[in-house]
Amino acid sequence: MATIPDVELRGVTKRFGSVEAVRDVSLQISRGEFFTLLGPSGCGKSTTLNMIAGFVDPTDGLVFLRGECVNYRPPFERNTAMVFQNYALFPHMTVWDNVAFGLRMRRVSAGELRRRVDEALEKVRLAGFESRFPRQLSGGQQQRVALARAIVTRPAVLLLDEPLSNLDLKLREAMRLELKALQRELGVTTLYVTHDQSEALVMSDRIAVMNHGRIEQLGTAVDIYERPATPFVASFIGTTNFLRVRAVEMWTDGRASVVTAGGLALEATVGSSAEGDRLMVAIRPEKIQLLSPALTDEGFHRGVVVHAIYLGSMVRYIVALDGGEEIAVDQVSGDNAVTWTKGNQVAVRLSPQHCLLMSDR
Amino acid sequence: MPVQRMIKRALPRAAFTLVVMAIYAFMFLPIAVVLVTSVGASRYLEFPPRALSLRWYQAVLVKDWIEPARVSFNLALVSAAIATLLGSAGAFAIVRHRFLGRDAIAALLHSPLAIPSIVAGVAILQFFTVVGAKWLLGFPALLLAHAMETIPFVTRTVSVSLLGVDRTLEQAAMNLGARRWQTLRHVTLPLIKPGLFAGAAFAFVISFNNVNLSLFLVRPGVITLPIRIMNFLEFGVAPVLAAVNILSLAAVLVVVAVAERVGGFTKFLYGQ
Amino acid sequence: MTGTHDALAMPAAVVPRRSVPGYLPLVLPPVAYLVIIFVIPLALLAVLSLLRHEAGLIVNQLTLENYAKLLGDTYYVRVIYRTLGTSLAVAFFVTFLSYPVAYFLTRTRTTWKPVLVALVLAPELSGVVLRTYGWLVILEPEGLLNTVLQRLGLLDAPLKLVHNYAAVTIGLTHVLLTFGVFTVMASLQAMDPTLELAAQNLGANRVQTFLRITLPLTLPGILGSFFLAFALAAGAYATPAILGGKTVEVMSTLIYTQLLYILNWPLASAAAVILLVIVLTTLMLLGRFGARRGAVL
Repeated sequence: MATIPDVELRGVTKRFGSVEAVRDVSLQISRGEFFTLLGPSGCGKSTTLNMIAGFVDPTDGLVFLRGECVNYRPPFERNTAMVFQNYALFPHMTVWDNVAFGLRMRRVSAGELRRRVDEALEKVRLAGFESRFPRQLSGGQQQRVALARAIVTRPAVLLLDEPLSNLDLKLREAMRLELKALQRELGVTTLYVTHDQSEALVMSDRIAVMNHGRIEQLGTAVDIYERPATPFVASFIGTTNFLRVRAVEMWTDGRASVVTAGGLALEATVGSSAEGDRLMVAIRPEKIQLLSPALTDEGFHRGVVVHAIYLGSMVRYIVALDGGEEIAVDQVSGDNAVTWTKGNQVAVRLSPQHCLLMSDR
Repeated sequence: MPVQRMIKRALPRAAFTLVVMAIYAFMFLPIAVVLVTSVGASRYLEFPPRALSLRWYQAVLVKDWIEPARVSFNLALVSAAIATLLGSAGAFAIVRHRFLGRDAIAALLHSPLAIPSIVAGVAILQFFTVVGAKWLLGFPALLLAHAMETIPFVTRTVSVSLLGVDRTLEQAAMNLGARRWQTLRHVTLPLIKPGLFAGAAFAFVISFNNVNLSLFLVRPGVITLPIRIMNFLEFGVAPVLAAVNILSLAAVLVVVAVAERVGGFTKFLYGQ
Repeated sequence: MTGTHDALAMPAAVVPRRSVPGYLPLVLPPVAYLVIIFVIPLALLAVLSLLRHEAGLIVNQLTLENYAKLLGDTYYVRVIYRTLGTSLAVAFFVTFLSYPVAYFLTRTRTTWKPVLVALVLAPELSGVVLRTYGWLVILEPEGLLNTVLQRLGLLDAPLKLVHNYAAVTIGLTHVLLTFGVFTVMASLQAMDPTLELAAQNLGANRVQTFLRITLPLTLPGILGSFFLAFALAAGAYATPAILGGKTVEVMSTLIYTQLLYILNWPLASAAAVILLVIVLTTLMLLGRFGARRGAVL
C-alpha cells in the first residue's frame, strides 16, 4: 500500500447480546476522501461510526486511524470529530465556548485558540453569533455551530451522523452543497452516515451501502446506481424493476441469455453477485425505451399500458408485458405531457447493457 | 338570555376559586398567627396583640436559644453536604451503570423514605448504645442520622436530573478530547446543577426542621432548635417561641435563597 | 478495494481496559453508609423487640411477650386503634383538601402559577414545630379562636380545643397538606386534558366529566396522597406531642415514653416494629394500586 489510509476497518463485527449489529465490515478511507455509509435505519451504519469514534468497542476486528490501531482507546484519545444528528451542542455554553471546547481540552494557547475559533466560525458564516446560546439559534445555525466545533480541532477524520436529517427540505438541499464545498476546501477526511440516497449520491466520493450489518456494495455513486450488485442496493437507491429468471445461459463475454418467469427472452449483463439458482434481472425504469408498436423489430417486446402516472418532469407508465409481468417505465414528459394512455399498445426495449443479472437473496 | 348563561357558567368557577383560596388560607393561617404573635408586646399570648414590640426578638438573643440554633444550622449544613455526596454517587451508579443487584441498591438508597423516621431514630440510639458508641450521641450521631434520612432526596433529584441529560452531550465532549473527569466537570455537573442543589436544599431544610430523629440523639448541651422548642413547650405557650420560630424560618429562607442564587434549583422544580 | 481480511492477529496493545467495574466506587460509599447507619440498627431493633425485659433489665432470652403485651393489653390496643383512626382521618382530610388545590394549580392559566405552586411548598420550609405551635396559639383556651368566639359573644367559657385527638387531626392535616397536593398534582399533570374536552364534546356536563373521566384517571394520585398521608401521620411525633399533650397517646409517643422514661427498650422496639409493619403494609398497598393503575393506563 502506497499511502496509509486515514481510516481503516478490518473485519469489524459488533454484537449486542445475540444481535449482530455490524458483521465483518472492512473498508479504507484515504486522505481527503468523502466517504458515505448509506443504509436504512438499523443497518449498522451508526454503530460503525460509533466504533470509529470510540463510543462503542467492536466485538471483533480492528479499527485503525492514520495507521494506528485504536481498539479500546477511549474517545478522547482518538482525534476524531463528530457532528451528531441532534448536534449535541452544550446548552449551558455560548456558541464561542462550544466551538472552543475541543481546543481547550487540547490546551491550545489563548492566542491560537482565539484565532482558530474565529476562523472556524467565519468558515461556517456564523461570525457575530459568538455570545449566543444554542437555544437562541435556528436549526440550520445550530447545525453550523456543530460543524465549526468539529472542524476547529483539525481531526484525523470528520464523522457526520445524519447531520442534515433535522433540517427542512430546502435548507437540507442547500446544506448538502455547502457541506461538500467546505469539506473540499478543508481537505478533511470525512465519513458521512445517512439513510438519504440523494444526499449520498450528491456528496460522496465513494459510498458503502449497508444492510443488516453488512456492506452490500462499495463504490462510487455511478458504480452503485448504474451497476448495483444486489437486489437490495438496486431497490434502496432509486427505483428498479425486477424480473424473476426461469432459465439462464451465461456466456464468457459477461452476457447471459435469460428467460423470465413470464416467458420473456432477454439478453442481460452478468453482475458480480449472479450466482446460485435463484436469479433475477434488474432494470431501472428510465433505462427502458417505450415506442410505438409500429416501430417494432427484433429486440422489442410487446405490452399494454396499464397506468400512466404524471410526475411533472416525467411520466411513469406501468406496462403489462405479453407474459403478464408488469414493469415501470419512466419517460421525460413530452410536448403534450402524457404520450400514452391506458390501454395503448406499446413496444418496449430492454437493452442488454441495462438488464443486470443478480442473485435473489 | 346570554347574561344569565354567563352567570350560570361563571358561578361554579367562582365558587371553586373561593374554595381553593380558603384552603390556601388554612395553609397559611398558623404561620401568619405565629408571625403576628411574635411582634406582640404582652407577656401573655394575645391575638391580635394590643401593642407591637420587638422585645421577643431581643429575648431570643441569649445563649439558651443561640446555641441550639447554631447546632441546628451546622448540623443541617454538614449533613446536607454528606447526603449530597453519597446520594449523588448512588444516583450516578444507578442511572449510568447496569449491574447485578442494581434495582436492589436503588431500593436501598430510597428506603429511609419508607421507614418512619421515629423508628430509625430509636434504632440508631439503641445501636450506638449496644455497640458501645454512646459517646457518639450528640452532634456526631445527629449528623450520621440526618444524612441517612436525606440521602433518598438527593438520590431522587440527581437521578431525575441525570436522566434528563442527553448522553450525546457527554459523547460530544469526549469526542472533542475531554477526559472522563473533564466531561463530568464541564458538561455533566453544570447540566445537573439544578437537581443537585434542589436535593441539597431539601436535605438542609429536612435536617434543620427534623424532630423524629433528633428526639433520641441529642444529649444535654447539644440540642437542636426544634427539640429545644418542643422542650420549652412543655411549660406552655410563650411569645418568645413565636419569635424563635420566625427567626428559624427566616434562616431557612435565607439558605434556600442562597441555594437558588448559586444553583438555580427552581429550574429543576419547574422543569427547565 | 475493500480492506484486507487476512492477519486479524490482535496487536499487543489491544487489550480491554477496566478490570474494576466503574460502578463500584460509586455504589460502595452510600451502600456501606446506609447498611451501617440504617439497616443494621433496624435489624438490631427487631432483635431487641424479641428480648425479655425484667426488673428494668434486658435479659438474653428470646420471647414474644412484648408483642403479646402490645396486642393483648386493652390500653396498648387502644393506642394502636387511636393511631390508626387518627391517621385514617388525616389521610382522608389531606386528600379531600388537596384535590381542589391540585386541580386548580394544574388547570389554571394564570401567570401567577409558579408563585401559587411555591406557596404550597413554602409551609414545608417552616417545619412541623412552627406550624404545630401556630395551631396551639389558635386553639388553646386563651388562644385566637376562643378569644374571637368569646368577643363575638358566642361563648361564655372557652372551649377545650387542644389536648384531644381532633386538635391532633387538624394539625397533622395541615402539616401533610403539601405532600397531598403534590401527589395529586402529579397524576393530574400526567392526564391528557383533551380527554375532558372529548367527554364534553360527547355530551357530558362538567360534573359528569369530572366523575367519569377526571376522577377515575387521577385515582392513582388520590390513593397515593391517601397512603402517603396515612404513613406519615402514623409515624408523626411532634404534632401529637404538642397538640395532644399528656392526654393523647399514639404509637410514636408511646415509643418515646417507653424508651426514654420507662426505659423498657424491648417494649419500645416491639412498638416500633408494629408501627413499621403498619406503614410498610400501607406502602405495599400503595405500590400494588399504583402498579394496577399503571397497567391500565
